Amino acid sequence: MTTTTLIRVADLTEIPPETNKAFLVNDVSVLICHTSQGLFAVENLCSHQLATLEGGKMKSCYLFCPKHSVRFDLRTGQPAGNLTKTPVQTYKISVVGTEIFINLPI
Amino acid sequence: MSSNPRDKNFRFPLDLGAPPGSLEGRSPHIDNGHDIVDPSRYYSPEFMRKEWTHLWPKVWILAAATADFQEPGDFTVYEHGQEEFIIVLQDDGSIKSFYNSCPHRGHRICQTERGSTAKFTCPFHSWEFGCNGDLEKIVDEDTFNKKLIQHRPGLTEVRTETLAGLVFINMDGKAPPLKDWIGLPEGYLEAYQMDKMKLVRHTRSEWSSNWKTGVDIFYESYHLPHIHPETRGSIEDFSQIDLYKNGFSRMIMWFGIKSHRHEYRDEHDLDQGVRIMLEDAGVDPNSYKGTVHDTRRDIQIAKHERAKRLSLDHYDNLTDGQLSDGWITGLFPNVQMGMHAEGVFIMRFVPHPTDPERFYYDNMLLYRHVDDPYYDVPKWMAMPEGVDVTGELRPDIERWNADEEPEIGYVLLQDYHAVKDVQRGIKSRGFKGPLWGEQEARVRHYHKEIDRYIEQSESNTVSLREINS
Repeated sequence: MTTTTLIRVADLTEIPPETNKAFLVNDVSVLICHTSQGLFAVENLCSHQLATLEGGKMKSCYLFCPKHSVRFDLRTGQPAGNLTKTPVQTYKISVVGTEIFINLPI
Repeated sequence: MSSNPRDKNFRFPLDLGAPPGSLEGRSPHIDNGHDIVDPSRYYSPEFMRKEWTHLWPKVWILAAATADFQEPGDFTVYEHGQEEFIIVLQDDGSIKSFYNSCPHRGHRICQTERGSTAKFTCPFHSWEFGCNGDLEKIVDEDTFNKKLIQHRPGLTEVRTETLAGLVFINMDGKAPPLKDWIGLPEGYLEAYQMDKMKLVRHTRSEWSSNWKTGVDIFYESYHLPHIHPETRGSIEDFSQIDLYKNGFSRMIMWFGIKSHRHEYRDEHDLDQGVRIMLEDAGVDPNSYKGTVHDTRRDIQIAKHERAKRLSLDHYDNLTDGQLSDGWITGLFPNVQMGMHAEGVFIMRFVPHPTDPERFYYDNMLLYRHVDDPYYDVPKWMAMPEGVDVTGELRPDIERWNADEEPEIGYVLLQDYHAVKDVQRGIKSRGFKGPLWGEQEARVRHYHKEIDRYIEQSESNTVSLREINS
């Protein structure tokens, strides 16, 4: 069983709707995505050619890598298409008031 | 002459009696002769090569629906035979298309079915291109001879035009403007307002036949009472057939009425298919008091009333027949569309890259979502449970290989199996070529147009050789 720790990442006001922003959390770059379907957190690293995912366009609960447009399902981290079959790491996200927390494995 | 197939003195062809020149009116006669074509066109690699050289580059190909593009940078990749195209919405609202091939070494640039991006980056050496196709970056540019790249090689553009919510591409760029090339009457496609519909389901299944074997079966209703016997109680299989210029065609099929071949016990013996169509129009079939002769008309009335209640103004531009019937419309060479006020059922018959005896059968369902508890997706769309029909998110293509039975609904599966059997029989030494009758006039019409493309191109090539020699 993986042990996780709850870590505050950001304030909701830092990530307006339909945008995403990366934060360094315990030496891991975590991308918080504010989509029309809610907030999601994934590792800020494409599983295809290891580009950062920050700034990638989003539609519904999907994020497109800004480099080669690989589409990741933010709910599961699963990619679509031929370029990679490896999912990106996802993190459980929670909001208390306006503060965003994620569960990071330790 | 009677226009009702049930009358004893009725003789095919069916003429619905609408004024000539109107959208519903019968098209002027086109004589395509009665010759028998060589069946090798359905399986020979040589004929496939001719199509790839003389047909596909010269015609407008349906590549996407405008519903696929919501904001600048939205793109989709369309595969057609050996080619792939990136189709992308520009900042100015226009749509451009490019060959999906990096000018550096030919690598496929985009390998995601659809998405949204600010630029395209080739996975091979990370050359970057804007959504307008312009070259933006060559990695380690100083290691290239300046003369080699002085033309700033961008993506190769393909001519692209849109009409009535549909996106077409033309490879050789020499075709007439799309609007002139579309052989249908003026305003025919626009009346349905497809640009206000969303694509809610897209399936692509690999079928074991030539693409034309697929088109052939869907271009005639002659097979309906035989391959789809359960439709006899709700669809008249004698259609009004209209042949238009440039290989386009249409058949109008009466829906919501018993075929002239169908026997019934009494005048209230409603078929299950008719009951479903009544329900689709918002009429409760259990309390319905009309007879088998009234159903089609009552479906029209009910749809008109519902459209008025829901302020669906495009119904005002549609005839009564368009509300009840199937206006089955052929876009030359490889598309058929079932036109309905609620949605449009697009079939696209996409040639296989290498095998003349396989093709991809694309089904694209365009649907105009209406947020009303008494309005739902028509049952004929065979929409699986749980599919989001609001159009908020364009669904992925559902794909099936040739060895998998596709989930496309009971009736289409009957065609799927029939097409396989036709393809097998066509190759027999005993088969001398198709004997197309009047009910199959649309089939002959588009084959004739294919032949014109091939013959014209080949004769041009011969002339050129003579001039050069």
